[in-house]
Amino acid sequence: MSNLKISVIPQFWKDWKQVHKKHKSREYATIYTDIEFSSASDEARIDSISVLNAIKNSIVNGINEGCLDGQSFPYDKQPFLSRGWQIRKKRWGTDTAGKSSGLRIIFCLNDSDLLFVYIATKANCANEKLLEKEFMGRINDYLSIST
Amino acid sequence: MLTKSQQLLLYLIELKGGNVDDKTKLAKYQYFTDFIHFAFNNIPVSESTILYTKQKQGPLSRSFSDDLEKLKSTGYLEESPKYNFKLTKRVFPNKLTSKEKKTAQFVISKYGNLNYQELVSICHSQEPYLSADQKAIIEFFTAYNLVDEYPDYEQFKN
Repeated sequence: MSNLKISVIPQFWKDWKQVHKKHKSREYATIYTDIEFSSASDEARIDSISVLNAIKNSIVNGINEGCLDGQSFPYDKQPFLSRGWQIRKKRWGTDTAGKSSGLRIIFCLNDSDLLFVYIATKANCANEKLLEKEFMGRINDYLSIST
Repeated sequence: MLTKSQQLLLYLIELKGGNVDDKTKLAKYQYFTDFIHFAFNNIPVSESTILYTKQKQGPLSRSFSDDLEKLKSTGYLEESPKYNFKLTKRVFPNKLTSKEKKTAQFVISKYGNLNYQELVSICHSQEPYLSADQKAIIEFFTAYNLVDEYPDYEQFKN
């Protein structure tokens, strides 16, 4: 596995609460207590939730296996490429309907980082323009603070 | 009494004309059958407690080698030459449902003629394999990502 640093935009965890409200099975729950979870690093939080850990592994292993494009795709607009970040979109199946009605994940990659930006169920992604404004704003704010 | 995974292995070999010439191929047929069946039916064909781990050559059932040993020791299978598995009895316990048989037939019709390297390559590019760490358990919930890869499954007639 490559040594990508895993980071999460804070609002992502609010998104996750909404996802977890809809999906209550054990793979959507953290293995931590509330106190442990609030004090854990982003990477530890991701690892503590089976679905998020699987999504993270899929992205990292997809890079290593040279098949990232088969499992996620670059977003149409790429305003942060000049700063080294590519925005990608991933779909994730949550039931027998497959990816088409599952989760939508927005993440960014640069040479050494994987940044989780946004996650929601398909049903909560109806307004694409609003969604795009939301996650572009998140990335912009994050990069403004961290660079 | 044979377990569901053992019955599935026998059935897959029967579908291949009573003979599978490669242990890894048989392991892949079993993986595809269990994960594709789970993707569309919320349950694998093998017993629901079956565990798959991520190995270099692809997903592998933890009980695979033990299952083959059991089938050999009870006289249902013969391994000759090494890694070549042949059915030794025409009749064997088969409590698989028609839906489960359909999935096994779907897998053999799709992948039965591929070589070992092609099968490994397909496994390596799919979400269940990608979503696990090396040697870790591959969770069945990742199988839902396979639904879109098999749009012909529902229409497949056994």
